[in-house]
Amino acid sequence: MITDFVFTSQSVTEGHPDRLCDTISDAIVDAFLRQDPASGITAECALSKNVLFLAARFASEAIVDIPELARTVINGVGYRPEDFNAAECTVVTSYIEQSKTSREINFSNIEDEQIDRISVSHQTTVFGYACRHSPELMPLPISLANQLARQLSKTKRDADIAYLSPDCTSQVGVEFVNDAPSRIDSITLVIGCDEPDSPPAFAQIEEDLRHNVINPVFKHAPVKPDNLTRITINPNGPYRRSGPATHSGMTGRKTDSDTYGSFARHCGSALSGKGPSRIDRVGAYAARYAAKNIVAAGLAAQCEVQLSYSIGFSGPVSVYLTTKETGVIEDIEIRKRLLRHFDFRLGAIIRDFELQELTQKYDGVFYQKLPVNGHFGAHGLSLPWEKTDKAELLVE
Amino acid sequence: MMDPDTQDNKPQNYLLIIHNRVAGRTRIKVPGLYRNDRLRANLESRLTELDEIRLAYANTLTGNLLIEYAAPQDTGEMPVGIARLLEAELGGPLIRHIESIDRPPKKVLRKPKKARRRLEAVEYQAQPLQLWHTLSGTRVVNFLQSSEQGLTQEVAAQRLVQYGANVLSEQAGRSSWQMFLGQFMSAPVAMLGVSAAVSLATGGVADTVVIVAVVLVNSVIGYATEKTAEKTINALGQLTPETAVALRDGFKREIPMPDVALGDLLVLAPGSYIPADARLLASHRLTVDESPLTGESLPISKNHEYVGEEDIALGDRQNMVYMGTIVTGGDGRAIAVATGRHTEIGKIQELVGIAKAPETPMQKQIDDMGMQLALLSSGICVLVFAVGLLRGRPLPQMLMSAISLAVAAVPEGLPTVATTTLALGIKEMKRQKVLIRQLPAVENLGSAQVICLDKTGTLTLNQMSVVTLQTLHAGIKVKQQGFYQGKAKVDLYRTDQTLRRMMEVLMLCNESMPAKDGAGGLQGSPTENALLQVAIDADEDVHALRQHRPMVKVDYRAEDRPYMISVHSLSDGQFFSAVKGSPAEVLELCQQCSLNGRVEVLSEDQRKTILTWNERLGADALRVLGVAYCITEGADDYKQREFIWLGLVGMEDVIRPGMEELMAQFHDAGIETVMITGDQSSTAYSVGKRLGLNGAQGKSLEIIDSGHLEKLDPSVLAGLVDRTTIFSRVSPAHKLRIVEALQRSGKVVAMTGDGINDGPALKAANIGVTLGEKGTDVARSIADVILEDDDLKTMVTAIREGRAIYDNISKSLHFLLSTNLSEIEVMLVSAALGGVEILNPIQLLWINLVTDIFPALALALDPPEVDVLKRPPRDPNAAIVSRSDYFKLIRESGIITAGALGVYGYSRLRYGPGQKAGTHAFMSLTLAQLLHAYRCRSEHSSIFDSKNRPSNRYLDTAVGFSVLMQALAATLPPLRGLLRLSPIGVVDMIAILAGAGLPLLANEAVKGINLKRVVEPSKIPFAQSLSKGERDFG
Repeated sequence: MITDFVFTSQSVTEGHPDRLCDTISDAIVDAFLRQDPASGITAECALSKNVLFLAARFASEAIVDIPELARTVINGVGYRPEDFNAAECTVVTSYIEQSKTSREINFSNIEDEQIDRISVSHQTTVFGYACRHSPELMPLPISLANQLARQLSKTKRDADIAYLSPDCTSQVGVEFVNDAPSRIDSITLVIGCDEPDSPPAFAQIEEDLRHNVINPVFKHAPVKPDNLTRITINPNGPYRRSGPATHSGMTGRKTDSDTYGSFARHCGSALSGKGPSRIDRVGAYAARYAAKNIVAAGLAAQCEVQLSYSIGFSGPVSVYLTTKETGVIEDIEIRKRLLRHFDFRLGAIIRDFELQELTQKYDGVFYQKLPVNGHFGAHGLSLPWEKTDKAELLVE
Repeated sequence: MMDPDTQDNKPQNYLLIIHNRVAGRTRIKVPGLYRNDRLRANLESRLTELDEIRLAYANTLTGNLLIEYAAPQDTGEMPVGIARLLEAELGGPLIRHIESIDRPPKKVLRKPKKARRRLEAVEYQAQPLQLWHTLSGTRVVNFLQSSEQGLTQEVAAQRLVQYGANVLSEQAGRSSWQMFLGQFMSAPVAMLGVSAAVSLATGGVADTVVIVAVVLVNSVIGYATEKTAEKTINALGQLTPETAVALRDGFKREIPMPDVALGDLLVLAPGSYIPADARLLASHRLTVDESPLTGESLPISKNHEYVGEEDIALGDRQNMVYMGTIVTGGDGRAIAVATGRHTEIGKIQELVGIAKAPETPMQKQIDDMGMQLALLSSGICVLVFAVGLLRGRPLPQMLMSAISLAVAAVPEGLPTVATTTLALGIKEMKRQKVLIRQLPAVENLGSAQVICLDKTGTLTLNQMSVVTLQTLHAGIKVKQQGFYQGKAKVDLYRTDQTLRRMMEVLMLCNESMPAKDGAGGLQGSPTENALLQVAIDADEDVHALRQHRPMVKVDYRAEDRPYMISVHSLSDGQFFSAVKGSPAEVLELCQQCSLNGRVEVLSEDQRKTILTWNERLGADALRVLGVAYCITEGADDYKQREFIWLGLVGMEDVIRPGMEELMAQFHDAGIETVMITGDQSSTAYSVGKRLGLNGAQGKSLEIIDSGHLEKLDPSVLAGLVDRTTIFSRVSPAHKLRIVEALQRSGKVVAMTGDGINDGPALKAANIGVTLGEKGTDVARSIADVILEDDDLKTMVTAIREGRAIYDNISKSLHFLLSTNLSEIEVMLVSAALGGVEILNPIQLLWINLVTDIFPALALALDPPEVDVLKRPPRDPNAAIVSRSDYFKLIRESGIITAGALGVYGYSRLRYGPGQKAGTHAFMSLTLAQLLHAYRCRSEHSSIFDSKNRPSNRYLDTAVGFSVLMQALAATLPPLRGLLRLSPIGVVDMIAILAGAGLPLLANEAVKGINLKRVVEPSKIPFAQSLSKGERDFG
């Protein structure tokens, strides 16, 4: 078994069209839940040169000006008008309204038997993962790549680097020895340049990025770059144009950086744009919650939880987990404890995580923050599935 | 109708200025100069004699003449001087551009038209010709001896006498005689003439008489139908305004269009129809739709300060406006520099000479088809003739037969049927308040696939109405029928005492005025009118209350104050302050609230509830206002912000009644509906949903939201529009793009519009629709269809009639073609059999006269079929008679022929070949053809399901009349003699009736079988297959 290797994960900033589409989709989810927490909503988004395609399938009392909302989100990203003009773009919206029949459920004090009657409407197998690479129990490569992307976005927002475009990508390669991260192998940043007429000197870019992006990120990182770490910045030269002017975007195309940077399995379906009733989203949250609590309880160094759902059933038809032989007790025993303390039924997940109320609780903006800040292991957001409140129960 | 003036204006007879961009020189293309040294010498010497010309050089190799002026030229005067000489020398007009036709008016004066008899003796003076666009405004005014005050009435009158009235030379239609004579100028009549001559030569005087009678009857019918049709069609499109606004004696006056004189100062405002060619003297953001002149559908900006070069194109002369164009925006003044037929459009009209409305694609198709069929029939006639000769029949007899067959078989009625049907349809539509202005629109109505609808004004009433009153105690829905709580109709004040105060505030804090006469009309902003109206509906007396509580002060809405407060004195010396405005802000002013009339302290929970309601109402596309009041000791005490909350008022632009059903009707008819609105998406969605724009199956509503459609590549837009139901946040100017995009995606588009800036879109649409009363003159003059009763629902009528007209033409065609075919087939068999002919020439002519015309015309009047609005629109590219139709025609005519031949065979066996058998075949064929008209009434239903078919009494009458004629022919001895018929016995009569009736039954049975076969596969329920697809597995 090979235990020494380099693993790379990559991420993108908020102005990357794919990421932007995720954000818009989740903003739509928020807008519906804000007006009507019981909304059923699925939103999708695609973005090309100056056309924005939106589709919203919903069962809700809410009425949302979806195009306007999307424009506001895009405006917040801060493209130069020549790259994308939110006010002038054409927005094609498909409103698909569904019947509101199975909607009126109050999840805050739901009865157990009621939960049993709520069956999932999608078939999916979702995964949750946690490991001891970082304090938030995420794999180190994706954690670092996401932090770099977030730092790039922050730098752009704070205008610390004048020429930085909102559309950048990051990649981090971590060298593992005996399955544990030992050093940083490589850091790659590709940034768009908002001053195409007078592109800054290469040395200038490198200096700015080291100072504003790389150093702040690695200041608190468990593993820091060393002299041999290869730092590559814009290997193909600075991108003169960026954002939707150069590449199109679509909801759900950045699922690896949304999840575990391919370090663990993920189900492949998009997380963003789906309301609380979509098991392919909330199931992934529940699985992560379980895995994180197992690792937090000290039962294993890493853990992958798998939940399989079939249409028509209220709970998973299969619960499986593996600690890849890092468990302090048998996996089968861990699963027993898991099943005792965790309720993976759809209704229970919605109730326990308060998924319908979160938006209102956070003043109307909750899901929208996830694509940029990370669905898992996010800093600064107290996500209910990131809590380790059940670790003690699992230790017993 | 070309007049003699224009005929000498052939291409080789003008002088084309090809280059005069370099100052001081002009190059002119002179026809006939090439290799003509004599002309060269002559030109050069004559031109250099002029003082103004420094050098004249004629090149005999290029055919060009170069003129260099002595003094630099900055105005248009010089070319005129030289032009006169050149024109005198060369005998052709001098023009700048072939398309601009900027030639000087002829000295030869036209005789005035008959219509203007009073001026008949007068010969008009030529209007001065100037390159007006190169002159400054003041120079133009001076030149035309006008002034800033405009012309005086006397000068204007004098000029009208001098230069003629401002009328375009109207096209003289064909005179009645010409039209009647035209009936004889056709191939069939010529053939008949030949056959008459042959008859006469062979001694058949009676035959000759019959033929002449046939020709006359045919011509009279043809003349009568064509006359009415032409009258109807010529009446289309005449909708230019009758008056124009001009300054006379310093006053704005509305003067009749023909009285606009040279030098008149025209006042231009949005929507103005420009009555003459004019040079702008003042303009402010003036834009003009010049499409009548240039074809450019986008409005052109105009600017009075512009001074152009001589040879600039007509469309680029920014300081000129031209007769027949329309102001789309801005305003300005202009001085008339050319009137009547001297205007650009007048010149074009003289050149083009539009004597006849252009043919529609369908008419062309029918004409082509008629020609092909005529050739085909002639070929068959030749064949019959040849076979007959080979069979040993005498030549004169065969010649007669062949010619008669040709006459009978050639579908000479085709174009007439189409034109007549169109004309009758247009009349019928007019009766139903649908005014057709362009002939092709009728055809397009039948194939319309998408209808674009303006939300404001077309789908909605374009007036605000209060629909919701929300107090803390009750939520009231306001409908036309009264006030409702939930589903129950309620008494307003018994439900909630607070509402009484609310009504007071709505009446007092309101500047709208009820009309003095008390009859309805409110004068104020739409919002305030709506608020006042709801109080009036609650039986409040506005005048009394306002008199009782006079206003002492008012604070209007302002930038930092999104509400309005009015203060009124009460009879007890206190003051009543009323406030209305943005709910959140008004709520901020309140400390207390009124709960069913009791004043209480406003709790935090109540505030939250009010704000939630506000959000809900706003989300439902309502305009929401908050209302509050207070009663204070001093007039200024309201500033202490201690108001008492009353409630929320929600208003909206109400959807016209019946629109939802209308949309469903469009969808049933396979016509997609597209709503165009300037609203934001959520409002558009809410309205679209209420209208049911997503159809009965509840498809998704696709909304394209863009304030900048012009930034989108047209081909991208064309790709997007396919399933789009709503365009939101678009401006009227974008309608053109939407229409074009839809057309690019292959749709036949109808577009409604009534504003000035809707013009381009209305023009571009296949069917531009405007509502009668509300439409601006511009919209009315451009639209193809005007709904006179101002009701969009009439559009359904228009579409039904449009489809019916097309159907009817195709029915008539079907009838004419299939019956003519059967005659040909019978004659072919007859020729093949040899011996005595089955039908003689006179009989063929009789069939032509009796069976063809009347049933065909009656079919043209067939009422719309029951399912005409349940079918999808026809394919606009499909031929009116398709290949499969030809097979059908052959099959049906074959069955008819078989019937007639069956009778013939029976009779021949019984009586031997001869007059008797022929008589029976003739009777049977004629009756079968007449009955066949009933087969042609529908492709979708047969005579067996008669209850689903509206009756056509014209057809009944026509067939009845024809049958009567036929009976007379069989019984009346003189007629029988002419047609060479034998008396018919009772048994034979039964055989004849069987021979006539059975083909109809057989044809209808075949139709029934075919219909079933077509219907079967589509029986799978549509909704079922759709719902399957809608299920998502994502």
